Amino acid sequence: MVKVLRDLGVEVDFIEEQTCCGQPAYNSGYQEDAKAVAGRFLSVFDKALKSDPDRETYIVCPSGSCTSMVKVFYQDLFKNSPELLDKIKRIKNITYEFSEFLVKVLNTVDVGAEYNGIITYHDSCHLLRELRINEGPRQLINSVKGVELREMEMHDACCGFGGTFSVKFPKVSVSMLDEKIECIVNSGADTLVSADMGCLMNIEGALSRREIPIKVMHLAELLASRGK
Amino acid sequence: MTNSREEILHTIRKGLNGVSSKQNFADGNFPDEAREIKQLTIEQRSKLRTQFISELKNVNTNVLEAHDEDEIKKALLKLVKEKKLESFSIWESQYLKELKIKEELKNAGLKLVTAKNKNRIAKSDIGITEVDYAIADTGTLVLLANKNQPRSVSLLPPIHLAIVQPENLASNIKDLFVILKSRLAEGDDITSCMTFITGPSRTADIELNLTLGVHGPKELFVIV
Amino acid sequence: MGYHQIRFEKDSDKAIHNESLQKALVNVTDRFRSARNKASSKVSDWEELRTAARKIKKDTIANLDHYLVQLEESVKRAGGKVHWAKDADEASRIIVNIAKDGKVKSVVKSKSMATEEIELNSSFEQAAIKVVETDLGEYIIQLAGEHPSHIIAPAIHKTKDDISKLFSEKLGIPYYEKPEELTKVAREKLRSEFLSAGMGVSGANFAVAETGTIVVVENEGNARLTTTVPKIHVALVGIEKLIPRYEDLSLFLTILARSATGQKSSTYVSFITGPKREADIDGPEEFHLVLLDNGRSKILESEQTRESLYCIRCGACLNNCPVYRHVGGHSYGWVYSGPIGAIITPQLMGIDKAPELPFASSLCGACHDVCPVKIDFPKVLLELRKNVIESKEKNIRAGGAFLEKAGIKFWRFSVEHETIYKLLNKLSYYFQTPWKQSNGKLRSLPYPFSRWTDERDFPSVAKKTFRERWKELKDETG
Repeated sequence: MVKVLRDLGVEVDFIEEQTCCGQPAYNSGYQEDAKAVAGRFLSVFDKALKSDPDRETYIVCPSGSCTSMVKVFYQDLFKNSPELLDKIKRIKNITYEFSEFLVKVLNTVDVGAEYNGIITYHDSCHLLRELRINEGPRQLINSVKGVELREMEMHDACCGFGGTFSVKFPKVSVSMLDEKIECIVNSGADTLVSADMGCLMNIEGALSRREIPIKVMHLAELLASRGK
Repeated sequence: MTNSREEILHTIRKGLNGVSSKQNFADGNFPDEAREIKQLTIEQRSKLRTQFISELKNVNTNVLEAHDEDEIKKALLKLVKEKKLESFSIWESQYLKELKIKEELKNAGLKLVTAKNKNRIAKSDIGITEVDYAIADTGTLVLLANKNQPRSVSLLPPIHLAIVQPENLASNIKDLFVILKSRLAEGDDITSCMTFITGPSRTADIELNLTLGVHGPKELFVIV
Repeated sequence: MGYHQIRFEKDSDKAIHNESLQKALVNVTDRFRSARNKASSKVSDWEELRTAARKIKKDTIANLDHYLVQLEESVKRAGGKVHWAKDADEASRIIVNIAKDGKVKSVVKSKSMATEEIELNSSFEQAAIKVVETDLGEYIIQLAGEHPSHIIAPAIHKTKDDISKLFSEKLGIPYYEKPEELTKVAREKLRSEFLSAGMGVSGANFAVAETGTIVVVENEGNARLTTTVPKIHVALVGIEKLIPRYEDLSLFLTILARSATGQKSSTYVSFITGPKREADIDGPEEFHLVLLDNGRSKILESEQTRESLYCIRCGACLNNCPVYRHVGGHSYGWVYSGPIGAIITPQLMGIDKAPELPFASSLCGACHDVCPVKIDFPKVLLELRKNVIESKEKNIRAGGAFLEKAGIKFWRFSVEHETIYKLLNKLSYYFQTPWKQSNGKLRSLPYPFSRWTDERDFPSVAKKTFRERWKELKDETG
């Protein structure tokens, strides 16, 4: 992601103090713990923004889940803390998921990438349904030189990850995952691309265990490829 | 029993503490709107009828087209012959009386079964009604129950025949409810039962296989 | 309500290994899903309709006491009687007493989730009153002694063969193969029941406060028969089924069938206002409306979960839920399944009786996208998850709860302290060695991580952390 952004002329910084947005606790029902961690996220980034307030700054994240946590769920998590709402608003307004940042802010779909392969794209749930992002990633993939994009059946069906769901109800999770793997294989693609690490770990975990030789890549990895 | 009523209302009010608001649903001007809806040109009426017929066919309703009284009677008698009907039950409603359907069928040798006896009506071969309204975009018949229009006639016999006058066609369900509401606004009784009928009885409960004719009529015929 | 143990993990595991069920689930969800998509895409203002429907439900629920009182007045004006039941037992008692007062020996029932909820049939049986389910799907499961497994198609988990065998065994008839033949048997058998029953019990999809009209939507005709032929008609209606005005029905009827089965309209819709009028030739002489609370009024308390009451029972959420698709309705342990089951079962029964259900979802949100009244299922599930975790009830969750809580506390500690976080990142590279395969993947991790690695590999941690790489990347320019 750093590479792709720099190639497009964006100055990239990484705030070392950051750790987590708090979503794992929020999704598991531990809202007090989630608030503590999310509060820290807000302070860390707020401090960084305040250090150079006049600069046009964005927070970019290579994950639909984490991005939705900040842009969609923080409001709900902190609904009883009106004093934080202003900070939340400021931060979420400049927070973008990686593909969204490229397409909507940088107005770019061709980042000059090159990759030889047949790709099928998995729509991760938060990215698709909370952030309503599905065209951008496809435009970006289609612009990669050497790529053929093939849609799989049920490309928008959940892969079964769902955070702790994958270990709370592993049999159900794997049953859903099996169906996703079947769709991926049936698409004839040699590479699976998605924009969320959770989905990628889940899907790759099954492909590798079943010894299916389909490569798995994050969208950012694909866009950083410059051919072999 | 009163205790439960008070308990339930109390719990609701407590739970809604602060949320309850005065409802301000603006009440539409139904009689005016209804008048507007009913004003259709001949061309519009004809289009509506064509759409209605197409929708009826989409839901497995048998359509017999008729453009005048004679054609209606012809279609009816043809059906009697085809289905070898021996008995019938019928609405004592205005349009059917005007058409003298009861007499036609008696003359054709069919036995009239009164709607007053539910066991007998279930055994009659066909139930004949007209419609109070019909909805063009879904192929729906709208029947109101009253002293001349018993519910069982369109329900118990295995075949239901409805004679539809095109001027009773509404474009869609929204328009229909404007018309109904305007009648209520003018003081008409809502009637104990209004029934929407869209095609013959059906089920998909066994492996999602569509089967027609479960409990209601197996076949629905419409003369329009 | 009889205590019912809900064991989602156990029951879903069984369901996943049931091949014929898996086939049936794929069949029913694929077909209903594509039918709904097709039907809704043909309505140009579908999204506006959803928004409008949600608004009406929101306003109605927000003034529920007012509309319930108005409904009661309207029904009485039309000559009907109104009864209020605060719980399942009371509702059953009221209905059985109506039957006893009317000296009713047999009852016919049309499909009603609410009557399943209160276990009405067993109350009738205890009072030695015969009760017959007339909806074909419900008839099938009544014969089989099971709960419905889908809101719209209750017997969908049964194959044709299952049903043929069931009919043959329970009804003493030959084995019929074709659905048409089975349906014919049901029609004939049930006809005589309709004609001889002293009472008909139905549910209702909607109850209109303004006019006192209850609306029953169906395809078979059994609800029409149930509400027309017997002398007494009893309608059991959840208090959340209210809508304010007569004309609101046009909106809800437009979205209901399309969301449920993809039909533009279901075959029959009955709009019933009180008993027969004196001059009517047929129709019930008595009409009783039994309003059912059974925990619904409590749901109103929380603004976060109030929208659970907007549901019009179309089943679209089930048909689009990837979890339901793989586990079926019985895994949810009660009469309501899928996403709607996951949110209302814990609320009606108490979260202590169903603590797994709010977690039985990957929060994918597909349900939210198709719900005709736009219920935000993920939002409600998250709130219920919080309720489970913060519940003071002991033993509310299985043994894993202690480990999970410890895990969350450990995680929190490490992400609140950046130095610890960095250290753990670095050390995990070494800790993982015993389980690292030659292909770079981790296998057979110890419990609880085995719940992942039983069937999936886990990626190994890289030697260089991103922070270490950043030290180099920082000074590079594009």
